[in-house]
Amino acid sequence: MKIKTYSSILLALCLALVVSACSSNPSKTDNENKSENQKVTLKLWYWNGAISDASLQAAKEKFPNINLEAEKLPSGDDYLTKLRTTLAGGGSGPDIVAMDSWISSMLEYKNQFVNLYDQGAHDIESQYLDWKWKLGADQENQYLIGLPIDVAPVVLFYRTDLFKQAGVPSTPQEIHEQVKSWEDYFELLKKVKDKTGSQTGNIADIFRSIVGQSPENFFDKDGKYIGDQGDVKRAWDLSVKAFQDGLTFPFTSDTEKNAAINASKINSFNGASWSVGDLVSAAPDTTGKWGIAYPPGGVGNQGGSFLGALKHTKHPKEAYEVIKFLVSPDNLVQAYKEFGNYPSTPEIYSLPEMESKNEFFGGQNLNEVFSEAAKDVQIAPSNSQDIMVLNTIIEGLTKVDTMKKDANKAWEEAQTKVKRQLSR
Amino acid sequence: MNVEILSKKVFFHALLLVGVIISVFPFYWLVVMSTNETSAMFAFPPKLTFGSYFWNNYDNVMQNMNFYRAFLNTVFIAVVSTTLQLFFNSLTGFTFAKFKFPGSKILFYIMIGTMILPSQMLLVPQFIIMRNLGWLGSYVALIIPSIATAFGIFWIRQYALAIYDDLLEAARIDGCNKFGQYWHVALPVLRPALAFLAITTFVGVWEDYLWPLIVLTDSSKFTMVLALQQLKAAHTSDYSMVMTGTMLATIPLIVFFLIVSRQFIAGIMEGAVKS
Repeated sequence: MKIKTYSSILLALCLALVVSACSSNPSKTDNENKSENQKVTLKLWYWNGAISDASLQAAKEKFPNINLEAEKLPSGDDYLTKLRTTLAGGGSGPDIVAMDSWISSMLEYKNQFVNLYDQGAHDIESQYLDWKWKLGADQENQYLIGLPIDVAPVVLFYRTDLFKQAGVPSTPQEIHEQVKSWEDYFELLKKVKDKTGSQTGNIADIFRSIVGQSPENFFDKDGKYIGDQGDVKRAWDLSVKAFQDGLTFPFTSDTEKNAAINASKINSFNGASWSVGDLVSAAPDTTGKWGIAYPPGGVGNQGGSFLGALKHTKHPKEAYEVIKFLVSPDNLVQAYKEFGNYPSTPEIYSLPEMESKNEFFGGQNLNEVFSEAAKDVQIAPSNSQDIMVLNTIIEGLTKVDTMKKDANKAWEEAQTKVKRQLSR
Repeated sequence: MNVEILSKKVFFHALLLVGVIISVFPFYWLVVMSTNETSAMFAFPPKLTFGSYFWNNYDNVMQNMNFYRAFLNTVFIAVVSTTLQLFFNSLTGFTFAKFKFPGSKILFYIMIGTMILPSQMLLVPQFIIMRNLGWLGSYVALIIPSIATAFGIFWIRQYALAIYDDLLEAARIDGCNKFGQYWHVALPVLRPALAFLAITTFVGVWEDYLWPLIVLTDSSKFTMVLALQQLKAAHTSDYSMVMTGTMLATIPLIVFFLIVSRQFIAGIMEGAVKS
């Protein structure tokens, strides 16, 4: 009987709470309107690691008449899902929004974004890396939906001690000069493996790196599928060759990869600038034995974000000013120091603050390699289907390793699968 | 004979022990990781013993997320949501089971039909409804849409079918109206079914991720799973910290399960003895 009394009280309470929550809503918006008259409120969405907290604080101090509400949201696909649903449902999204390298898929909805060129973005264009800037603009370069934050050039991470032991080029200088192509790199890997028994990343890593540094990948700039030929086929063949020569390490997850790196079973891999932090925390037993060098085959880019403003904002001018401040070179240096996001403004690469010597890398100044690589990044035309194609082909490629599938058969199957998906 | 029984017992207990180890290990590992540094996670061979970094990780969690705020938010939503769901589901389920009205069968099958729709498909339409109602960003948008669920109603109806009509008849003769029959007769009988529903609903609300992610924008209103995601950075994550946060977030669920499961089992026993 007692339980029943309690439960009916609880039920009544719950109903009352919900009803009161319904009715309290309008009064709240009234309050917001009132405060808006005095101070402009700008909402900003970002994820942990996109913008430095110190920079956000600095922005609040610089713009005393702007009430900047920055919401740190879950990162990765979740963030994209939330943004997409909000755009599709026409919900009250933020005024300012951080975007990752998927910004090209947002260009389809450019009408939902403020054209930053209209706000005077042309004036600061020259400060940024040209290839990075263009990722946020439409094909005609008339409509700009995001200003660049960071870039993520992919370079070669390698074990200086193992390379030395094998008698192959082992300084960044030597590697840059002597290991120019993937064929050179495989040659080197063979020697290192014979001497030390260590390998490079898995078969998919190699494919991803080669595709990433090609001037064209899965679609040409008119949207025609070319992922069954050219650079993609070359990347596939090279990856298969590396696997068949026993140069790749067959890890299937990041945990396995980290364990292999820490156990000195991996002598080198291609990684983006942000993987420095991952490597340091994953492989404490190899401290001091790593180095980075200009990568074989050219430079790709993996990631790097942008800040844009949504069209429904009532204050596009103020939003632009805040964005401009947050992506200013000074704040980008701050983000590099805080979590290793490499800035997209080349003018600051030579500043003494950018020097990053790390004991983990035997005191090498990483900035020397990154700054050179960042300027040489190759960008291929992007397409909203890129990720699907990449995942399908990598799925097929992985089977060559894990299931010892015939490489030609796997290629045919992957291509059939991609084409079936594309025809839907 | 005795030896045979004993060896059988030993065998089954050994088998059960293996089962227990397999199911408990992930949680054990979670606790171990929350007391170690991240680097220990990737060490080879992996570290399987407790470390001394728990308070360190705890401090990191508290600095990087508003843990207790998120905790209270989630408790609030889970309690309100579960209570309302139990009430509306059992009321509807009981009605479907015991009262015949025109179209009741068709209504029931239509409702069952909605279970086929994947929740992802409802995301955008539901979002638009919430926007039009002006509920975006508030807890009402989390609670109201799931106030009655097809599964819950179906579950209760199946259970309520077993209630004797004579029992309800007797209550009616004693002066109970229809709501009284539900409140005084059906609810006590439905207790084990409600306990099960309470567990699944509570856990479901506690773990719900996609809908709160879409609806909530103010991080001070975030539920536990959303707030935990804030611990993860875009590239480099401090996994010990994430593990510590996850472990702390799991404890209330275990406590709740222990409390309610006793009800659940008590209910089963009660029924068994009476019949």
